[in-house]
Amino acid sequence: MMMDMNPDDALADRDTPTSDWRPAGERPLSDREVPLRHDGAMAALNAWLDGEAPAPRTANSQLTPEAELWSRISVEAASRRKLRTPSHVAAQIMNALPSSTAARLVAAPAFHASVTTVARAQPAPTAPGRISMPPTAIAIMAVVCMALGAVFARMM
Amino acid sequence: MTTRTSWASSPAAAVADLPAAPKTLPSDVAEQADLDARSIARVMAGDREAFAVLVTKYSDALYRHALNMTGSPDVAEDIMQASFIKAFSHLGEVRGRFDAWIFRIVANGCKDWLKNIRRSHVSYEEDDQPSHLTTPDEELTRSELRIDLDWALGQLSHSLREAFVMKHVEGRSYEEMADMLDSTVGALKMRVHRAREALQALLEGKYA
Repeated sequence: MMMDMNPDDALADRDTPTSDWRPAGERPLSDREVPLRHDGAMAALNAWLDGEAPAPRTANSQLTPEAELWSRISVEAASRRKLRTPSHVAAQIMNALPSSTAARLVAAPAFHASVTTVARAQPAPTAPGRISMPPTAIAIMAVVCMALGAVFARMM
Repeated sequence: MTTRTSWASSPAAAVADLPAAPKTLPSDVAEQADLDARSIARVMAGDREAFAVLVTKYSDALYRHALNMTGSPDVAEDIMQASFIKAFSHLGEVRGRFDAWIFRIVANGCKDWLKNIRRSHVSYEEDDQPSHLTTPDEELTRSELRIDLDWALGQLSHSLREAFVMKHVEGRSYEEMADMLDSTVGALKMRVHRAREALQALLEGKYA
């Protein structure tokens, strides 16, 4: 499966204008760029569902048919909210992880400012069997080697 | 229809379940980010099992998102697995909060899957029904509205479906959605409103 790792592309198509030339009313629901209705009933429903207004009711204090539909949809949504990952999935993921994590050899991770203190407190990531060395230490070692080389050259 | 009767008998209870968007305090978010950063640092230092902490912590929410976006448990599992493997392999590239980062990877996986399905002209209704509908017993227990809602969600564009699922199924606040999707509250509200209107147009003939 192709996976898009670029978070900026996650919503790349959200504002893409449709190339469909048909009038909005004739296009499929998924292609319409404007709300279908701007009537008071829909506005009242949206306000209720957003927690900004009481439920729209009829003169008999009953929920309107539309509000009743959304009550039922909300019950269904609430039941889906309780859904849990099948138990085998976590183990499956862990077993499928690559054994060599090249990511750990990538340059120092750039965590968010709020978490840098935690990252700093941890030991620097080092691959097993490899020696990591800061650039300044490498430069000092190079200078020392060159100096030793010059001394040996004079002695000979 | 039995389900309608049961809900209609207790509208107050149903209404009580309406938008219950969990309020997440910024301090909680920061605390969770710090915990995640500790786990990431342990993984980066070679502790593979520390990654299991992150998998366990976020798998439920991510699975729910993938399942409601694709409508298929098998596809949701595949997307989850591919996403966590990608995350593990690119852990050094985490910028900001891990939960938002892994959510984006899963969301992109769902988007790619939906694009490929539509491009190949495979019928969602015919070929991508959740696999657990194959057994008659389970099919019987699933409510008619649930099936119709799955169908109606399948008619929405990716962006409307994503907004609706995050708001209504995952119970996120608009602020949290804006944070996760790097968008604005106003834009997301509009998307949710459009999704509701589209869903209502699709379902009201039968239910309202």
